[in-house]
Amino acid sequence: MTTKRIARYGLLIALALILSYLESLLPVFVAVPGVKMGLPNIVIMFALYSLGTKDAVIISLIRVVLAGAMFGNVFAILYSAAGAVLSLLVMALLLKTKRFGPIGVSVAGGVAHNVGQIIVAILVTETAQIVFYLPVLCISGIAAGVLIGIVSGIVIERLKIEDKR
Amino acid sequence: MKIRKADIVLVLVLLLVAAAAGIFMLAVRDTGGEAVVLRDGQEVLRLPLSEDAEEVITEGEDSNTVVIRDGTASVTQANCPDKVCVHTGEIRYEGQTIVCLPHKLVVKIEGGEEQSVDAVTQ
Repeated sequence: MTTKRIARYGLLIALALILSYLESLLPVFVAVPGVKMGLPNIVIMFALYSLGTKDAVIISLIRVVLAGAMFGNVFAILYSAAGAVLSLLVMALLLKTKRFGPIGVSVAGGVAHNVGQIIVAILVTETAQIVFYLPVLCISGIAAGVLIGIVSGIVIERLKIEDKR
Repeated sequence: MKIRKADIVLVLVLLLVAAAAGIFMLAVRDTGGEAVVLRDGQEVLRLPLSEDAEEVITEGEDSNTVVIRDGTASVTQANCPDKVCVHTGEIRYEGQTIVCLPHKLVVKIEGGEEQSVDAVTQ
């Protein structure tokens, strides 16, 4: 692991954590748990496009653990780790097909995040009825995904990293 | 930044699927009769929605106040860190849930009346 890579991880993880914190301050404006903007996903999208899948996974998982420890609890970590892993998997696959732009990748990631969270919520509480939240969560996830996709697209375009290693 | 055709198709397909699933779930759910409180998937309390009631559910230091009023169930107070259960508000139809993940607590509506016009058109 080069010094450059360590510095880059540190910078991006710090940025993702600030966005997680900012998001935790935003008021819950819908009476459905789990509705979020997904601001940290801007950083993950940037890492995915500009650095690579492996780097995006590392940054995402460290962010989830640290953000959970600072602004949440063990359940928050479990909850968002499932969302983060599923969402990254889907985003990396869509990026590989080279058919989708940042908006498509981000929207699919947002919806996958919601699906992952719902699955964990069902397993933790052993209550299958939670699946009723999924349609509402998906629609909010799509809206948030489009916005995050637009912002990420602009950021990725403007911040070109020349040396990928 | 380019918007690809595949992006638009993906967004539209996902929206359609979510909307269809939402309409389907609205159509199949019934108005409920009882609020069931579960911890760790185990039933701890059962309250009929027809009678107003207020119950404090405690386990160690965890506490949630479940209130039944005017045929709806809600969690009005909780000492969990995120208060998602309190923000969820009132539930009344079968299958609706209030979840308090930190306390592993679920309030769900079960059984009761047949599907009514209100439940479908709401």
